Order: sequence, then C-alpha cells, then structure tokens
Amino acid sequence: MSRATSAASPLTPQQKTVWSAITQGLSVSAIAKKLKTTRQYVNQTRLTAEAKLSATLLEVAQINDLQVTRLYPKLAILVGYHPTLRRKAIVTYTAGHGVKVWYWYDNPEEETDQELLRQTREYLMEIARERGVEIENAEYLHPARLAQALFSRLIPDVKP
Amino acid sequence: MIRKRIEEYVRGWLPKTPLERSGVAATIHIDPRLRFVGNMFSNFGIFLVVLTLFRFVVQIFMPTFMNPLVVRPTFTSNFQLIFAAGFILMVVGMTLRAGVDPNVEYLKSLKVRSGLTLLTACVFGLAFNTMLGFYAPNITLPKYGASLAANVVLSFVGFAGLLLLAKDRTALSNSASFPRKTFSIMSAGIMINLIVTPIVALLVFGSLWHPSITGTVVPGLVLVILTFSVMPLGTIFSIYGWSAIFSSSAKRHKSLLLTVLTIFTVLIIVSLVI
Repeated sequence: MSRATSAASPLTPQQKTVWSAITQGLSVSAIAKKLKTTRQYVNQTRLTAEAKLSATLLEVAQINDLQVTRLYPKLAILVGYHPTLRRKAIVTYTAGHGVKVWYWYDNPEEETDQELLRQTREYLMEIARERGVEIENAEYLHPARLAQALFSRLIPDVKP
Repeated sequence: MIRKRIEEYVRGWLPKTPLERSGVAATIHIDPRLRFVGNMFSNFGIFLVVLTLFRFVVQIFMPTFMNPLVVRPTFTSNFQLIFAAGFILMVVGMTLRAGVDPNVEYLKSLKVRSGLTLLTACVFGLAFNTMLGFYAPNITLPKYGASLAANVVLSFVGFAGLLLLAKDRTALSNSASFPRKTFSIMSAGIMINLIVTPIVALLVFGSLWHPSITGTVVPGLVLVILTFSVMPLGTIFSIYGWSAIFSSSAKRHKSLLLTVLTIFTVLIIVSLVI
C-alpha cells in the first residue's frame, strides 16, 4: 500500500477524480480531454477505482458482521443483511465523505441526534449530486425518508 | 407544517447501528398471553397426534387388548378425527405462539419457496395417507399396500423439497428467523419415512411371496418395531417440523393459515367419505 488510502478514502486523488466524473455521467473521452490524458488511462483508472471500492465495501461489510447480498461496483453500493440485528443494511461510498453503513429503521423519527441527522442529510445530498439523482422536496424530507427515496432510485430492486 | 410532520413520520435508512434493548439483540416481540394459548394448543395437538400415531403401543397396555369378549372401544374407531383435530391444534397453536418477524428473508428465494411447497405437499399427503390408509376402520391388505406405496412417493416428494432447500442454503443460513432445529427434525422425519417404508413394504408383501420372510422371529420383530414405532416417529417428526416452519410465515400472512386449514378440512372430509 504505497499510497495513503483507508476505508474513509480508499481512492487516490486521481482515481477519485475519474470515478466522480464517471458517476456524474461524463463520457470517457470527455474525462480524458479534461484531464489531458488518454482514454485508455481513464478506463484503466476507472476499473482500478471500482475494484478498490468493491474491496473496501466488502471489508467494511465484514467488519460490521454483514452478510453480503449484492454488490454494485459501478455505484459503489453494497447491500447486505445483519443476522443478529435482523435488519437489511446498505454500505455506500462518496468521494467527499467516504464509506457509511446504513440500517433500516421502522421509526427513524425516534432518532433525536440533530447533528447526526444534519450530517446524514449532507451525505445523502452529496450522493445525489455525485450520481446525478434529483429527489423532489429533498430539503423537506426526513433524512431517513430521503435515504429511502435515494436508494430506491439507485437500486430499485432492493426492498427493505 | 402538518404535511411536513406527516412526511417525517415514515420509515427509512439511517447511518447508525440500531440500539439493542436490555443487552439483547433486536428480538421479535410475542404477546405472552398469545404465547401461552399457542403453547397449550400446540402441546395438546402434539399429544393427540402422538397418541393416534402410536395407538398400537397405547392399546397394548389396555386391559381390552386382544380380549375377544370385549367390544372394540369406540375411541379407537375415531382415530382419524382425533388425528385431524391434533394436527389442526398443532398448526394453529404454533402459529399463535410464533413471533411476527417482519423479515422472513428466506421466503424471497424461489428455490426455498418451491422446496417448502413440496414439503407442504409431502406433509399433507402423509397426514391424509395416515387418516385414509392406516386408520381407516375397514383397512385391507391392498389398501395398506397402497398406503405404503403412497408413503414412499410422498417421502420422495419431501426429499425433493429438502434438496431444493439445500441448493439455496445461503438464503436459509442468512435468515435469522428460519427455525433450523425444527427443520432438522422435519428432515429426519422425511428420511425415516423414505428409508423405512420400503423396508416395511418388503417385509409385509415379501412374506406373501415367501412366508419365511416374516415367519421367523427376527424379521417379524423388525416389522413390528418399524411399523408401530419408527414409521409413526417419522410421520410425527415431519408434521411437527413442518408446523414450526409454516408458523413463521403463517404469522405474517394470516390468509396462509386459513388456506392450509381449509385444504386440510377438505382432506379430512375426503378421508372420511372414501
């Protein structure tokens, strides 16, 4: 591990740039032009970034005792299940805030930690921006509801 | 403002590990009264089913056993209804006492659903066959033979169901709500039926072809033990195990319980009429 990477930031700055651009919908040619490099380099970097993110998500899932149900390498999302807590879990990655593990809550309004809710909303808005997803009335939705709306759009076949 | 509050009262995802209560992992809440009633029903149901399945063992200890002067006690002629009542009580009781698990994950797998369907068909068939074939008042050798043959076929159906479930072990092992112990009991019951029934059939019908097969003490004793102890054990294990697995999904889908009871009632009527 020659570069300083961690679960919080598993990608190098270059990999992060390429991956963010890809998830925003830019073409390989456009990215290569922007970075003044070749398409082959962009493709190779993208593949490396996806592999690293997949490995990171799997590692985080293992640390959190999650059983992996499905992995979406291009979206950098992992869906799993926690057998002891008997809940579905989702592991996500954003370039700005790293990895987060999400659990399903039947009564999320019981959570009163305002700082957590604020950070959650920020994280979700970043995911939405990175993936080019727009949620109606996002600023009015409870963060848990916002998460549900966002994840439903990104991974429609996952039901809580 | 009211619209915002309604929108906030929803379910969703949060990046926080759910709190455990009293140091215990998130558990399924079961009403204690319902659990008590369920236990009573299921225990009595199991008792009735065991009583009817092992009726020959019970009868041996009765003073009227093999006494030609005594009219056949009426309760032995109602074994079909007693068995049916026991079965229904067992299923209803187990469903009542089961917890409502919102995440019956394993049922989402097609292989698991198909396997459980086959197992249900096997158990229903065994129950029907028991009422129709083994406890019919006017049982004859051909009828008994047909019941044995049906038992073998049903056991193969159940075995196929077990194989399907084994193919999707991941779905079962991932699920915290799947009753593994009772599944093992059911599997043991089906395997017992699968292995023992052909042996019983061979001993019974083999003796017609060659009397020495059961004419001597050892094969005769083996036949008695297999028929009156081991086969009923296989049937009770299959029924008990299936009831426990069924109760997990029936608690969630009440229409499933009604459907099963309706089908079983039809089977009872058919077995009494035939």
